[in-house]
Amino acid sequence: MIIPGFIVCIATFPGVIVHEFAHMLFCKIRKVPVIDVCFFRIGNPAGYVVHGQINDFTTAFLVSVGPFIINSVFCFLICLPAYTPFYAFGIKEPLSYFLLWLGISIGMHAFPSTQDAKNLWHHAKESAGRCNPLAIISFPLVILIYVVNILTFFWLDYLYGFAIGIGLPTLILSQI
Amino acid sequence: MINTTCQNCKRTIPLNDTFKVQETICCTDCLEQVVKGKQTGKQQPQIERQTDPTVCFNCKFDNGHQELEKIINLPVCKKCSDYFENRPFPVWIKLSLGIVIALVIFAFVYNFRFINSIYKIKAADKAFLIGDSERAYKLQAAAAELVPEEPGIGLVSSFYEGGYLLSRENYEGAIDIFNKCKSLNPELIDYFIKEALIGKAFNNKDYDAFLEYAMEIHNQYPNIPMHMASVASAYACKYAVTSDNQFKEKSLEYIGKAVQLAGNSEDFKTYEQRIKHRLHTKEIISGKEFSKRYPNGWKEP
Repeated sequence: MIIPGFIVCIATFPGVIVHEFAHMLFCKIRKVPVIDVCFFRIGNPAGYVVHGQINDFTTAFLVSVGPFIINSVFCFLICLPAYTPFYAFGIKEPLSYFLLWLGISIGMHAFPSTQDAKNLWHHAKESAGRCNPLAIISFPLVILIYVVNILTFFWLDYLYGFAIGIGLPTLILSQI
Repeated sequence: MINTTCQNCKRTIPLNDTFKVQETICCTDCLEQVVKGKQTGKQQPQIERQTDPTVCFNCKFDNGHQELEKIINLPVCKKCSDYFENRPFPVWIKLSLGIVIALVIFAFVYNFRFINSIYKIKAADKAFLIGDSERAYKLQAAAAELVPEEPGIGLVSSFYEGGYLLSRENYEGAIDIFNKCKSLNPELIDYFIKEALIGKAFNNKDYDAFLEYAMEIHNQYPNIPMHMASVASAYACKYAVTSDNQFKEKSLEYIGKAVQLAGNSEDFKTYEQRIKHRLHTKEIISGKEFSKRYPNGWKEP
């Protein structure tokens, strides 16, 4: 069964909001002017941040990869306490269901978009030419973002949400 | 503000209201006409909106003839530039973030008892495996208290408590507790109940019952040397009180089979010595008493 992307986006809208929030947060941290921001809308893209020119690779890296960090952390922190009673004792509570939906939705939108990857690639190329070690190290990551973006066709981004929201807590709880 | 002239209708208009169609500047009204004139076949000419560098693109502030600073090639006044650089998060975002953080903290605090319970259950399992049934049952009981909605934890706690009472030779107590948690694993619990019944029968000097239960366990698990030795022990008790040689022969028969299976197990050797001591002296003493009297073991003279 093929589910249209916009329906999945609506069902997981908190993830889009947090994704854009993370972009904006890192823009603010790195003093990049934010010209326009849309946290969620029904359309493509479902959200966006229009920011000013970025002049250094570290800033470009943080602004592009910010959602990956923030969404993943939020996903894990929200899902861990919600998943514990279910994992260990099969106890199902409405709050847990709500938090799991919230956490996994956020995790599903952790991956940087193709536009983020393009921005990062552009900066990585420029900075690598100036022998910026972070830019050189980041090349495989940029390639990975591209690959992941291709694999989103196979729902890899959504699988990632489940991996961080359910898989990681399972792994941690089994190690206690 | 910069004004310019539409090259089509010759009107003077603000630069922001004009377009550039392949080097031709035109106003909005003339745009369609100019585009049609430049069109070659199906190919559309390139259209570009003109930007006045002296008018802020955001608030339309007019800076006279002085150009404004640019952000991504768009003229921005000082006020808007400051706003973009320090753009605040919308109130609803802050509010939502606050609610989510509060929910996460609440969920962590509320569900901490589950994490704590898992930790205690795992520690209880470890304690039980190394034979520390007292610690096992105390940890498991604490875990059960933390998650009262899961009765299974309490059943395991009762099972560990039964094991603890069994190890303390409180057989009556162990039987009571084991009966309460039978639903956990009926076969396993039945086995432990029989072990407790053997202990109880031994303490009550009811050696017929001792033999009956020992034989039941042996029939259930025929290849376990300790269970064979238990039958041998029951026969030895019966020999000690009756002096009937057939019981002695039976005891020796079972202990002989058990020795073949047990190999060099230290625990088994002590048990074997106790049974042989019983057959030799016709004196029935407990394991504790035997260890106290013969700390270095007993050998048949």
